[in-house]
Amino acid sequence: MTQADLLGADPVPDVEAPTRRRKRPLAAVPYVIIGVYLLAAIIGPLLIDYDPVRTEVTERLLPPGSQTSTGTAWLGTDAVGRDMLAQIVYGARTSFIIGIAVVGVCGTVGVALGALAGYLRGLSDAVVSRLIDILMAFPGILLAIIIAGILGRGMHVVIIALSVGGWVGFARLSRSITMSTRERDWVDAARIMGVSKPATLTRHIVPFLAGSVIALATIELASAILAEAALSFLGLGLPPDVVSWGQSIANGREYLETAWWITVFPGIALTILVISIGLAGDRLTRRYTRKRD
Amino acid sequence: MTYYLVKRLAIGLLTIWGVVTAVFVVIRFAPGDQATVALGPDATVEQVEALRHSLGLDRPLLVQYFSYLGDVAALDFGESYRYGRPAMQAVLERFPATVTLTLTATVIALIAGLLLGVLAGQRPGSLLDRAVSTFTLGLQAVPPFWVGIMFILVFALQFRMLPSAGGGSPAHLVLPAVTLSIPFTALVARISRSGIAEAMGEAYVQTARSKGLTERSVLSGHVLKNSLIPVVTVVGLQLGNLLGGAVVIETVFAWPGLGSLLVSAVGNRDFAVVQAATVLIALCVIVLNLTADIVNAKLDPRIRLEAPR
Amino acid sequence: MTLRMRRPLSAVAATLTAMAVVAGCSFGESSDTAGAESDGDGGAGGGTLTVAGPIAIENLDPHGAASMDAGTQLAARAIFSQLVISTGSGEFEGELAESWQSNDDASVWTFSLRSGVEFSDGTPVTAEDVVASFERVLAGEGPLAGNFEGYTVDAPDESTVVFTAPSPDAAFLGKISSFFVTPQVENDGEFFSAPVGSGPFVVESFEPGQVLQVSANPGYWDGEPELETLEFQSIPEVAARMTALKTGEVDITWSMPDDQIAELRADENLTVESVPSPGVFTMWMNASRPALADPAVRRALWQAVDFEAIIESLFPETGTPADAPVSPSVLGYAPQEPVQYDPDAAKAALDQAGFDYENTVIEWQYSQPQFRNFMNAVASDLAEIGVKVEPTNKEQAVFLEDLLALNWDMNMQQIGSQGYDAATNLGRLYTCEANRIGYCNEELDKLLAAAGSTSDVAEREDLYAQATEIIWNDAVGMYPMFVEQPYAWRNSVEGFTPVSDGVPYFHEVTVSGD
Repeated sequence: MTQADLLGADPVPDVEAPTRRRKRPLAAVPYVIIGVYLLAAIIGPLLIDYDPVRTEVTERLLPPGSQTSTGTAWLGTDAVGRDMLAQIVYGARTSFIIGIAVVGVCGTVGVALGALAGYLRGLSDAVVSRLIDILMAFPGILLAIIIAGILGRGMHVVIIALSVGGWVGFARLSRSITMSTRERDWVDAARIMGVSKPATLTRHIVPFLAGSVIALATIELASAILAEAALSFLGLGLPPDVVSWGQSIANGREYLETAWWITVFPGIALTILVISIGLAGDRLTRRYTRKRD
Repeated sequence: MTYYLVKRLAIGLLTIWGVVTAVFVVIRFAPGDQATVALGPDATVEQVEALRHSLGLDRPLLVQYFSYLGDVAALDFGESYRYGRPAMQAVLERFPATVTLTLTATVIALIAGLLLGVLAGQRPGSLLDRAVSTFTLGLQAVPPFWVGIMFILVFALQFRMLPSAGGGSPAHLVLPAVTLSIPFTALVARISRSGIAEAMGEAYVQTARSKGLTERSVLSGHVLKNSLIPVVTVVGLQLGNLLGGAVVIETVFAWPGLGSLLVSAVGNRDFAVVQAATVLIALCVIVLNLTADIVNAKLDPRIRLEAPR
Repeated sequence: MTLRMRRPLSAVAATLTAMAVVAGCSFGESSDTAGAESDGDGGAGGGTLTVAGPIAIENLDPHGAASMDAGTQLAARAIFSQLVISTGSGEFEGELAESWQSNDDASVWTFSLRSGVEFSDGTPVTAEDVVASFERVLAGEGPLAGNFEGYTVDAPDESTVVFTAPSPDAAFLGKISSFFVTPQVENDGEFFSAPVGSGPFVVESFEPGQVLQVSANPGYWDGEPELETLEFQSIPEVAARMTALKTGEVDITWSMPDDQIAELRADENLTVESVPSPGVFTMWMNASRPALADPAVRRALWQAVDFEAIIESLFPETGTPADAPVSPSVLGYAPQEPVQYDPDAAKAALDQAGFDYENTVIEWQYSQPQFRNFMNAVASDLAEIGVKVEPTNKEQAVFLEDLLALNWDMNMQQIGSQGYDAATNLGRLYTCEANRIGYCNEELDKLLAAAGSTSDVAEREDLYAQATEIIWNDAVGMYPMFVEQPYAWRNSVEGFTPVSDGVPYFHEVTVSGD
């Protein structure tokens, strides 16, 4: 039996999604927006020249649309005369790098632990479950604040701080799916045929996690990006020479009355991205939870 | 029930131990020496050594760990070097402000969320439903700390209607509480909407309608009551995250609570306060979750308390 | 010595600043402190004054870990008494001490106490209290202890206190001006939540990090203050602090960032004034690093930055180009020839010295965010001539360790001179033995040692002038800017005197109902 057969045999053909998409042309909007952000994060830095160290103090706090020595500052300049638009583009890159890294780490660790716990049961399940209980009882952002605040600065610090509590969701999800999947006929069949445990796990169970895990990963990406911004806003984690929306927002607080654009635009950029990822994640979740139930 | 409580209690203790250990480990990995920071750049090597000794930092790590565990078990978190007082005392002083803030935010989230949920759920699929759903999705996604700043910009700086920061009067509470409630309002709205939307199609609602009851009394008498249960469950589970959110929001508004204390203690390396605050927060979350479970069981006889699997 | 402030982490700020004082820095701008309670304008009776400084008051113990915090010092100046108050360039005024003198080499200092001074609970302040307080500092685990290593103190009679230094210490008066006398108590923790002192005000209530309320001390030796109550608020957010001042929730604030000052000036209900402070932006260059070992290289780097333009745009209100490593308000100030901005000459000098542009990245460490804009601007200028400088922000704890271990190429701090005496700055930091900068010059060592072991003011000024010339010409660091300390108060406030170290006194202030 191949995976393809199994998938086909499983009574969950996703008929609804396509019809819906046809009915609602707006459905593509979030994907388009995410695409634009990704594009900006990847090729933006090649097009727009921005060096966080390069400042032009004579052109500081200029309102949106002002002329500067290097062109037009469409979104204004900050307290040392750096272009806000460029900061937002570079900030997108930081957000994606950290968000994707965090989700990658959390997804890998979480799925591995969850699948193992769900498949092996017994002691390993007990250990993983208690670990999950412990982490669930403590707000993730708090853990991140403590870790990032104490460990010092660096992108890796932020990634570690956000990953420590972030894998729990993946572990819970994959544990419960694994537990129900392992009772299915084909897993029994594989077992009887003498397929080794690791092979059963990787070939017959893990593929069934993919859809739900991707849906969860999307939602976790949104919250990782939000959490990174919150940490940077608090002045924890990222060093000041890494451009980040959270830091831009924090930098602008002192100039709220006189130069609102420093705080407002990065916040809007962040909000739109998170909403779009959230919409996409919602849709994916809806599709895959329906499939699972 | 007893078995359930005992098991939950055990997990609770385990959690506290885990939190204490995790923070201990992080602190020991932290770059920078506590004694050097406390004494400043002018201290001599001898003075630094003496302080390290009196803080017990020169003992083997495991000895430090176990003596620390012992102290925590005796509820002794040591003295805050910043405040010159027992750390737990400093933390407890700030606790009421945080409770006030989170409770107010919870109430706002419940009222606003249910209102939105009713609006949207009454006629599933209607234009209103879609508008409200989009709106709540937006609420869920906006970064609360940024919204907080926008509130300051608009209500405090532009219109001078409300104070921007600090604590003390009810007016100070408005902006932080509303800001903190935003993501939870969205959550309550979404859950109650789906509960109500589902209930609207149920047989008993049809019956009530056919008996000639007004839409309003159908809603309040039958629909709302049943859709409250999932709301309570989720709110109970989310209270921990609410506390986490409070930490960030308190910093934005300089609200004199546990969160701003914790953030500054982390920056100051006032480890006694960090430890005391984390233990207190973990304790709160455990108690809150347990309470939510019990309340739920009372609300809905179908739910039996079982050890979580 | 470092002044550290962090916007969101108000408390951090405090600590650091504490250190600032020790080393004798003034507090530059910043943010932090807070709460915006009401009852600002006072008006009734003797009047109520509400003030909000940049740093929260977290701890009232003037001897412990927070002793050098700006917040603790601020509260201590209202509640306790110093032996002497430094009033400017090498000048002191007696507070608890009526008179004082040192022996010839400035190693034994004898103070005669003012008679009839009482703590607010009615017990007299005796020499025993001074001794006990000083011993508490020495035993303490705070930054103040580092100033008095090896000191002994003795009270030969009721009203005389003798301090003996392990070696000549001409800077003693400056250092002892951060020392406050408290009663001898059993339980520190409890006592300092509502301490009794001999200062002009008595503690009414104290919420750490938020509000300190004090009232006039009727038994104050220099006459009861006119103010009925004085409230120290903590308003961490700069914008909120400014708003509170404009609306009258707060009567006095200080250490405002430059960008806010112009707006305050436009408000006709406010008086804005800046006073010179002892603070100097100090950018040490680590001479023990091969790339920076050559004085010609260090001078060239200095020349390559257009400090005048940077100061004009970033610090139009509180910065003036510096012409010495200590400010004009400090004993030992000797103006030098300003370094002219000349990128071409700088480039030529670097070329000639064989500076390796390709492989040299200068790590420039700092811990306080308020330096960031300034440092970016400087790094930007240096990049113009091809020199790579990387401003590196470090957590205070790490910064401090690296600072002491000379683990940096360039260092950014605002350094002041405690007690307005170059001895606490040049004399303390620039010796070979202190080894704080990676620079060692025997001639300089001799001058500094001589200046530190005499109490003859004219001689000391001359010695410091010679030392300054060496430091300046060897470009031990760049000294771009003198810092001014800005204050703003409502016009209803009378009798307020801005002080240059940013830790003001309030006992002579009155408030008219406006």
